[in-house]
Amino acid sequence: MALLEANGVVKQFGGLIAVNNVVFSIEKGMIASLIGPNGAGKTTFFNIITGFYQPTSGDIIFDGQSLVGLSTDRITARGVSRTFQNIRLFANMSALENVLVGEHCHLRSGVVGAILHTPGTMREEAQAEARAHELLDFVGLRNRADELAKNLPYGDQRRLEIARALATEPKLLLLDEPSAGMNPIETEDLTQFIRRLRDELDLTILLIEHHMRVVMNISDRVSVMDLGELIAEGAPEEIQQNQRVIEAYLGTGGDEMLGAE
Amino acid sequence: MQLRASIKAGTIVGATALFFTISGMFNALAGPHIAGVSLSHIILALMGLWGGWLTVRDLMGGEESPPPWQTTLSGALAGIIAGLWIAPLVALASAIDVRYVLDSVTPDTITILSFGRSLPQGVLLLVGGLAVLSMATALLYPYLSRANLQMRQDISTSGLSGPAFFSGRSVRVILPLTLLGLLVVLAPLRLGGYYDHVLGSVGIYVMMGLGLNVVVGFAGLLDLGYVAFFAIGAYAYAFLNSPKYNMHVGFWISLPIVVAIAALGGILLGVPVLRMRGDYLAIVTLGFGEIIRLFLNNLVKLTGGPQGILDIRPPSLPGIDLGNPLAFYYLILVGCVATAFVTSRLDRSRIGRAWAAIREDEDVARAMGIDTVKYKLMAFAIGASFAGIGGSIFASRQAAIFPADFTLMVSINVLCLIIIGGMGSIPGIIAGSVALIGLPEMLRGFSDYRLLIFGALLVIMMVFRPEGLIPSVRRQQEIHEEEEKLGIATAAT
Amino acid sequence: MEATTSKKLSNRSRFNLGSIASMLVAVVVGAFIVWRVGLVITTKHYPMSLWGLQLANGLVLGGVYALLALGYTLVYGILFMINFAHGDVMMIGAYAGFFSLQWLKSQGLVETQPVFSLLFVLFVGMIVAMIVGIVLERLAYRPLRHAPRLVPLISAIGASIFLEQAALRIFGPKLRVYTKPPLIQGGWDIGSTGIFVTRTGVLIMVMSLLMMIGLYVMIQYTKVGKAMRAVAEDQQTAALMGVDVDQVIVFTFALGSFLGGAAGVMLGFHNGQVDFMVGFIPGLKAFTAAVLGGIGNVPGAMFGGVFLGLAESLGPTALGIPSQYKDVIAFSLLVLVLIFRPTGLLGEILSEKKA
Repeated sequence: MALLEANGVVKQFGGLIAVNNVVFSIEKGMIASLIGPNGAGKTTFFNIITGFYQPTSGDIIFDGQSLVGLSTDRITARGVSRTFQNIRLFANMSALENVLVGEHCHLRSGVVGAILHTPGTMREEAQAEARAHELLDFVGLRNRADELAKNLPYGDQRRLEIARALATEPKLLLLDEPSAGMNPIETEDLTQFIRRLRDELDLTILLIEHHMRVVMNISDRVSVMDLGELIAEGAPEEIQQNQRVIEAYLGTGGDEMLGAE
Repeated sequence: MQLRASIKAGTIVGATALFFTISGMFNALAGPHIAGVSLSHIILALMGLWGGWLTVRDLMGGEESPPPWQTTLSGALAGIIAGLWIAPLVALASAIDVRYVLDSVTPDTITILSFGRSLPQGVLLLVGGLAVLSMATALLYPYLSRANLQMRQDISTSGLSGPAFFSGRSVRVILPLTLLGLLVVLAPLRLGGYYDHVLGSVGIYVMMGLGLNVVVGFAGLLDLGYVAFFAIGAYAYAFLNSPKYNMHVGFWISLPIVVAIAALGGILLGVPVLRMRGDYLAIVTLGFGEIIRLFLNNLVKLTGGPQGILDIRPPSLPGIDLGNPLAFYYLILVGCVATAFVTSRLDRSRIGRAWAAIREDEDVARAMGIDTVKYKLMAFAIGASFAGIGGSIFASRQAAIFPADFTLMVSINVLCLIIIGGMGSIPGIIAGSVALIGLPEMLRGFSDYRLLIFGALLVIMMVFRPEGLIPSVRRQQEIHEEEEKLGIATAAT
Repeated sequence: MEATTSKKLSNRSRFNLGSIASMLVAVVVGAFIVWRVGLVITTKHYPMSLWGLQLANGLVLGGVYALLALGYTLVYGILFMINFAHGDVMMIGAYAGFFSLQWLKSQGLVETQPVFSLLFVLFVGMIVAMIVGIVLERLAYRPLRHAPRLVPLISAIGASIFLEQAALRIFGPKLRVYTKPPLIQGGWDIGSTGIFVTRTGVLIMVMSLLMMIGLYVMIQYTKVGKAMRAVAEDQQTAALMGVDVDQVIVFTFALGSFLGGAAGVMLGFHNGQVDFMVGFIPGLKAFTAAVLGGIGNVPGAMFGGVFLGLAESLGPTALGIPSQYKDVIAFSLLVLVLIFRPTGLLGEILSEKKA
């Protein structure tokens, strides 16, 4: 069964059609990649899935229910989480706090519990903190819990952002250019890490990525967008051969770029 | 280089002295004497010393400091320049009456500034005096700064370890806090009614500051109309209690009703402004505050208009008379402690984290599953409730309320005490209230200049210590990081 | 493009509490207006002359608000800060105008050189306000240019209180009565409509219109105007292109205060008096006007000023409510515009980065 399905999604900004009639689906447990030149509408598509934008028309079905019309926080609660292209951490909060914010929608304590420190709240907070530490361990930030997010090195910030997204306990994780700004070694680590995410946490992952080695290495399926439209879809090897995809990329280096670098 | 330093220092000092002169502060300060010298002359002398200090500090800042005879001469020159800022006014004012324009420049002013001498002598004395004092600091500066440095080194080498007795964190923190607590509880017993009243006012502002801190400090929503909820609380209690409306509801029963009404007011204000960005929010809330006041002022039939509502009764407890300033002080103290407790608990909870996330980045907060609408409204409602409680205590303490008690100045005062004290920091807010509300109340003799000094202080504070007196750690980092970042950015361009 | 879009969207989700509430507000306000206006039309037959008088009054007030609003809009457009003290800068200008007028009168120049003395008074008010504006920027705002946004706002509030109190202490608490020179006393009847137009009003409208046109031309076509627009768009890029950002900011403050000084003198003539609080409420109103027109937008500020002036003078009569509520109308208008059209009636002109 498809975890996420987009049926004819259109997004129009004034005269500009940013996403045009996209039909798209991801099976559970898959790692899928969304590629395409700059301005192709990939991030806009992410923003539609996560409810930052409402689609002009079309529908998005997640886990059997429509996401259209839901606010971003509800969509997150349903099990879709994301990271951002230009890392957007809560810069002045500690790494631990960042992850705790991610756990927000799975915690229940309210005003009364917070003020009176009721046993329920205390237990919940202790569990939340334990879980946050676990997640930090998982992404390799064991000793960084109390550091302010903005003081972390770049690579750690990327990891922290993923830990924060994981804290929302997603079924589907959207990663927006996770390898941006990384050197080859870091990129290799990241590739392994994404695979681990799927295998160990039983996640479905959709990533936007420019780094073709990452895409071709880990994707079960690759989808290509250009000028708002989905122009090709298939296994990585098929995409590398696809004439339309090569044309779409020609300006930026064509087939070399799609090749194995 | 030397000349520029002198001119700059002389201009700063001279302009300040000129301002003191034309705003009449020298007249106001002439009364008190210390060791036979009037306070205005002491201030004038301090200005002279300041001039020298400014000059030398400027000169020493360079790669190599000029020889002492040069700095001394520059200091003297700065003093002369400062003197030249006020000398013409003194001469002019003793020749003709300038009071049509400059209301505060009276013959007394001239007497003060010319030391009671006749004109040429007096002016010479003024300019010469400033020059000598300025020169003196310039001459002594190197020795003073060396001594200062030595002292600091002494402290840092010896003081760091300290006696073992005080090294434990618990002792260092808890001991002073207990002493302070005892002082706050016990001191008012000996202070007398007037001071109890002043402390009560400080306390009401502490409560409001802590409440507004939830909105501004925690959730990052800049609210300039906070007085509206203070007014709503006060009028709600007045409606329920004053004989004018024949309901005669007591304080303790009114309290939850007042809280509910104020919280509802907070939500009603919050809903339309949910999507506004920071400074628009400020202006709309400001407008909201003014609208409430205008209604209170003009709905004469309902609110009594400018005549206000009278005969509001103080709270009562069985067997205890709560109608005196001391009792109110304790009531307010309890309120403050409760507010501080509640807000700090909230800050360190899941709710506080949600607010912090919204303050940091609203979009991302939403993407992390936080219902931003709910939490923003919650912040408005909680903030408003505390203002409502403050308002009803205020109403019962004053026994009468008027629309004039609820001007924009109240909102601004509360916001400023948060910022002066240190946003997000509870001890800071208490310090801010004492500094902003308490000290001016006690300096009644100088009360005409209260607001003037207040305004100047706000600007000076923002320029030199924007993080507040007792900043929360995070806030301090935020402000300075941002400056550094931008500093680097501009340096790069 | 993708990066910027993700940054500023967010508020487009559909039916949420906010939009339901704003619809509710719209219905309530609409119903209230229809009801009151209907009531006034059917039950009260005000003479044409009353409406005409208020129309003229509204235009005059609007001219003053517009001039003042320009100061807010210019500064906000460039520094993205609310210059809370702008109204008080205007107040200082009004005092300066007053004293120069008294001096001219004592020299007998008001009678012998009427046009010159009027321009002189205006000029002195403008120059003094300009100096105050420049000093203010240097001392209270420039050191804070890179601080978080709340910091300059507090500083501006402090500066506002300081200027008011300084004026109170320096010039004294008494009201200063602006006597109009003979040139602008009296007025004209318009035909037989019963509408009376004062000469002061005409002067204010003409002068403010001229200044606004001058400002517009300057911003659009001169070198310094282009520099201002460049800095408003992106300070760092402008600096890279060789624009002296500091100078442009000082110039902006000077220009805004210059116009504010003119507004102060005109308000003095219009109200016939000056005291130390004269800048506060008009300052708030003018900021409202700037927001109404769309902040950062120069024609918008003019439009917003006139719109607000008219709403304030015609509103209470049209709605049949006491004129004490004119401030309520002004602030309600602000709140409504920000709810339904947060970018102002003519749209705001700000660089994307800042908005």
